[in-house]
Amino acid sequence: MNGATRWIKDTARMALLLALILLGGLIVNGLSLGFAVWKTAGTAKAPSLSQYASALTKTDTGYMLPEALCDELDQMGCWAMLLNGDGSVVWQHGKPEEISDHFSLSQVAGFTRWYLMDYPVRVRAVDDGLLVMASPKNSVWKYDASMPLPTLLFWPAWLLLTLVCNFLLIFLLSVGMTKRRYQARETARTEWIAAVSHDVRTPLSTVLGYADSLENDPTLPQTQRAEASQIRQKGEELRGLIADLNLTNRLEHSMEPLTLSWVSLPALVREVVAATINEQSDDRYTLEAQIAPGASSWLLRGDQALLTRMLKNLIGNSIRHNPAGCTVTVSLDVERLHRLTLTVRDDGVGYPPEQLNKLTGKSPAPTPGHGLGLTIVRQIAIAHHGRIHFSNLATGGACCVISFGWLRLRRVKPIKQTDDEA
Amino acid sequence: MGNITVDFGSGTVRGNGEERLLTAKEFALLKKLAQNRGRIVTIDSLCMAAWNDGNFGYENTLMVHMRRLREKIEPDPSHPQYILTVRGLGYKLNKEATE
Repeated sequence: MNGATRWIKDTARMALLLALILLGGLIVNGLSLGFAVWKTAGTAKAPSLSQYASALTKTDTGYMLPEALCDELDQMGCWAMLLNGDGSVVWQHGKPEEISDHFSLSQVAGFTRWYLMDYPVRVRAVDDGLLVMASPKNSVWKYDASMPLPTLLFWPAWLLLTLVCNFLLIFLLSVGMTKRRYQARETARTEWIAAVSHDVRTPLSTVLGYADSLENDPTLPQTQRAEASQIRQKGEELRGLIADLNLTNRLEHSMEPLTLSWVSLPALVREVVAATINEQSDDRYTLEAQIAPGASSWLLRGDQALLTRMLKNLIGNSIRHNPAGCTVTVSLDVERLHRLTLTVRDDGVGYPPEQLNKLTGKSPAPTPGHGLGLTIVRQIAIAHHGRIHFSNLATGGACCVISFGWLRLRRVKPIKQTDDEA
Repeated sequence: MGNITVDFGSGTVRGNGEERLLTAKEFALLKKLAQNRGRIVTIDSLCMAAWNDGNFGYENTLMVHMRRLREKIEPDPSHPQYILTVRGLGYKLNKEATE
């Protein structure tokens, strides 16, 4: 939502920047080319052919070019000649000695296209023949270009294609660059949190150690030992919180590597529930495990430690928020389309509305005071490509449903029950 | 356990004037339960102890073995006082006989 809009904005900004850079490059190119043309324009030695052709007039004795144009030709170092229909020179001005007075048809075709003894020449058909105008040697580059018509006609399409490719390039580059920038920022934040939590843990260990030794000091009065016990308990709570913060942060940015193996969820559920009952001697809480018979034949590809953590958090949450006691039921069912569903529900007070909103993604703002336990639960479920849904039961009590799809599941065949002792 | 003694060295149960030998599996199961006396031991860890295999599929076999174990230990196997079933989870070896 908010983050996505910002991401799109950043990407657009990056794209604009890239487009400007490209455009800037284009403008610089165009300007430098224009400058080069403008700079050399004056030096070009190319008299106007049409002007000479019309100025050349036939007289009784031959042909005549106006004096001014003759001077211009000399100044430029050019020369000109007129060939009649037979290929003989009938008029010339400044023609070098090396140039012959008669040209065959193939010679004419040759110099029309290429050079005349290294002189770059241009020709123009006039009434009486062919006007040939030569510039000085090495002054003009002459090349005859030809191109198949389909190729020429393909040009607009080619230009368009280039344009589209450019746009695509700009888009991809900007997406990639924005992503990298975001990743760098997130990595920095994650590492910062990891560093801070490490720095906090070190002095906390000392505090906990001394509180523990005070608590177990028989020479101290009972009240002071109780106080030390409080310090230790709260300190341990703080340590747990820091560990949670670190874990949730790493999970959020997918930096927590999953140690994947094939996990038997029924076994995991039994293990966690049994461990909780064993550690918990309080009569107010009842724990139940309901495992569907079919569930045993499925293994889930996942991280055993994280999944255990997920279930422990859910059960712990139910116990912590229901001081009056409750019954926690953990059930495991196989639904259609091979979905394995883990449900943890209790008959207590349920989730506070604002926390439910946060967990279901309705309100993005984090709510203080509810800890990270359930956030971690959600993150672990998502890391295992599971679907998770938190809700409050109509009968009262909290309910969390996590389901795993068949892509992450594997079916195992029941082992042949060989009773070696029967 | 009451007037019954389990000798883990020889794997025998003595009491009520008779001596019964435990099978290897029964011995392993009882040992696992005794190590965690008063705590719930899950089906999975019992299977792991007896068959060295955490895989499922042993639940029914486990049930059979537990019944035999009870027959050797419990005064009244139908109403066990020592080896209790925790529904859905596993078994528990009681610290003291209930009632």
